[in-house]
Amino acid sequence: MSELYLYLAFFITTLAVSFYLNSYINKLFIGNKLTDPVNERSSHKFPATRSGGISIFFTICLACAFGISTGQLTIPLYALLSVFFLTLTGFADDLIEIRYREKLFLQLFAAVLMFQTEYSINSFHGVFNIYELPYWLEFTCSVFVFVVVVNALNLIDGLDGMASFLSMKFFLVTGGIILVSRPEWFLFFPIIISALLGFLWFNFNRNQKVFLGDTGSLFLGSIMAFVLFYILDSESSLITDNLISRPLLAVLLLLYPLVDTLRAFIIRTYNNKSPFVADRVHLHHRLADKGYQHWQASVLTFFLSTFILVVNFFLYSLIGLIGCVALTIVLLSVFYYTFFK
Amino acid sequence: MKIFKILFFLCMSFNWLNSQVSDDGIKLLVSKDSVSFYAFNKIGVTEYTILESKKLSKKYIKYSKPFPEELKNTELGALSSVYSKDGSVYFLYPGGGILFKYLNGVFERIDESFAYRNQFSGHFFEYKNELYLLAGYGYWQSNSLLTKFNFELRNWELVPTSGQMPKLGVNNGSFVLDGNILTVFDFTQRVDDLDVKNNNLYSLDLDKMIWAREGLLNKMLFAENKKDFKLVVEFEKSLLQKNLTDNDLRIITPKDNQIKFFKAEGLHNINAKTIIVGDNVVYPVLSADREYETLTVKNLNENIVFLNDEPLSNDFNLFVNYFIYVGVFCGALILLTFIKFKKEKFVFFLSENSLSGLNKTMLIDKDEQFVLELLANSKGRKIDNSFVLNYFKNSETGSDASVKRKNKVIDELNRKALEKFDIVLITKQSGKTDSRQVVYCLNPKIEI
Repeated sequence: MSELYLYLAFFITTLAVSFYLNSYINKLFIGNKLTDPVNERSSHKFPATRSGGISIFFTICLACAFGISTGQLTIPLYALLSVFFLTLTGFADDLIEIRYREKLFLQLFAAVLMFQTEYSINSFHGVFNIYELPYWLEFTCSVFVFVVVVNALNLIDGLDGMASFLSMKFFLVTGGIILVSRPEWFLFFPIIISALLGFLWFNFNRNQKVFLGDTGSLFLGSIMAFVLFYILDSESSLITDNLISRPLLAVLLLLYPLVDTLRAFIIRTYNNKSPFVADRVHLHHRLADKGYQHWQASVLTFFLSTFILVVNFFLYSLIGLIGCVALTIVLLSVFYYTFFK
Repeated sequence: MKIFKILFFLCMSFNWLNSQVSDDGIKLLVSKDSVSFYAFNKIGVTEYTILESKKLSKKYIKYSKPFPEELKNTELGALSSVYSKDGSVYFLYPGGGILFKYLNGVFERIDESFAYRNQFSGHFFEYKNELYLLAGYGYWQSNSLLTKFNFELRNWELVPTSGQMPKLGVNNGSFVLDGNILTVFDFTQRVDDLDVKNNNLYSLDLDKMIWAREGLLNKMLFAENKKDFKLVVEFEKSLLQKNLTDNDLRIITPKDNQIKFFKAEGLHNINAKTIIVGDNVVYPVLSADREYETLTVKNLNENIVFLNDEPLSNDFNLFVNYFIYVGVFCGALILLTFIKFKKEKFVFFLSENSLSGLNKTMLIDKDEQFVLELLANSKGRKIDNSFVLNYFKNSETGSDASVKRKNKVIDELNRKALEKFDIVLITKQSGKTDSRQVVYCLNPKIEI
């Protein structure tokens, strides 16, 4: 019970700090005329700032520093370095627009840093009947997944609340796994969720609108990639092993970002465009174009992706991996034709 | 001179007898089967049998070969012991390596190794007629080594293990062997010269030599950074733990994921030499003058009172409870989001030629101003199409032109508002009394 109070205390304090910092940094950005331009691709009609990411970053830094200094939290060093490096990359991108190739190179460097932690994707856990991976493949897979996750989160950050809701889903689910297997890391989860909640308030606010920006999406994406490394590392122990396959869990945790990114890449390639070009082919843009308000589209996506995850959790022991993959594809198709078509 | 020689020999004999007495205490108890056990000292062994009356029958055997030199200065109580099904009792030197065997009155060293000193407080056990030593502490670090005694080479060899082993080692742990599964829990690990408690529950499959982390120990029952229970006795497929300072006793059965708690009033004076023989607790009690020890036999079940039981590992409960909280949190989050946007009102100010709000101003013409004012002042902020149409009627043009003009004004107003404020001002509904009639409504989120 005392731990519950501790987590609650951190949650409430971090929420207050996040609320304050989001407001304060937003005003600083506006004061320095660092507002996000409104163009034909923008879903917003008012001047807004990309200060959300840096506010979340500072909030989490403060809360984690307090957690570590009081002995309630530990964070692996290389993960910290990688996340910091990528956050600074995102901040620079928000300010001076880094070219895509340069950004990719910096992401690769951050991925290599992340690989230095004791966790990596060193096994396919029986998918395609493959278990342990040779070192070169382990490295390649880990770096690839890192870059994909980081960019997928960046790409879905197109509607108010979308990235926050999907990040919250990710951290709420993985928090349960970490609580059991690495309780010394768990405090980070109430911290990050409350930091996201503070941001979400301003993200939904019309008068003081704040966006996550590249800082936020790269920051959150790199943390997610680290948690995925932990989940997919064969030496980590997960309570969910008896409930669901690890690779399936990893995909379901990031279902919407992965499906949307894959879909966008396929459509762009089919239309003879660069897969990295910015446009409005994302699924959430379809929802917005159909008349859904931003918050409605975000909540709907959050709900649908969580529903698919929960259904897979309950049915995995009955229908197995292939059955779950088939079921997920069927559910995705049904939802696409019901809500997105 | 003769008298002197006799006195000298008498003195020598007396000294020798004295040393015999001082060494004749109960040094080490080893359980044999459900009714008998051994009490070893450095001179001989007594085999006790527990009679139905709880009295003991005993048979003393003096060692037929000299007692091993290596143990001359070592307390027998410091040795780890295992009773083997072939009738032998094996004794392991502290830290591993040197191995002794007792069989048929012979207590002898049987290995050709040396004192390794790297597995202090490791778990010495027999599985499928092989002797194993698992984990322990030595040379300033804890380890998870599994070593097996090779009876042919008379030496210890390392057994490779894989899986989710406690990488930082197992020191001072609790172990329960049930079939081929050895459960390991309640141990510390050496981290930066500090003993740090590992609160996970591990199992080692002795057929496959694969470790698995089974879960997290019940946090309510295992202290964060110390071992609570000083007395730990393994019996059958369970582990008995008791504090030496109070009457709390618990029996842990990993297979059932269960800890049973008892009050042990009648076992208040049991000590670290205690063994379990069948249903009986056997322990030596020092006499009042502290000269000798007597053995006490008490039935375990008759001397403990069951209090309650708890799960040994409750992480699944923790996991489920966590998701109950998460479910509530998600529900609250979605509900609050709905409420926020449902209750969100935008205040606008209407003047003759502009509509202001949300820090912005939109220019409007006279017709648009009229429509908005009409809607803002009407009952329920709804107006029938016919009312609006009346305003746009003109005697010079036909009714179609009036309808077109009205529609154009409303559409233009909505388009401009959407562009400027990202909001729809006026929506259309069908009439309540006549569904063919159109009713214009002001967006309920807007206050003018």
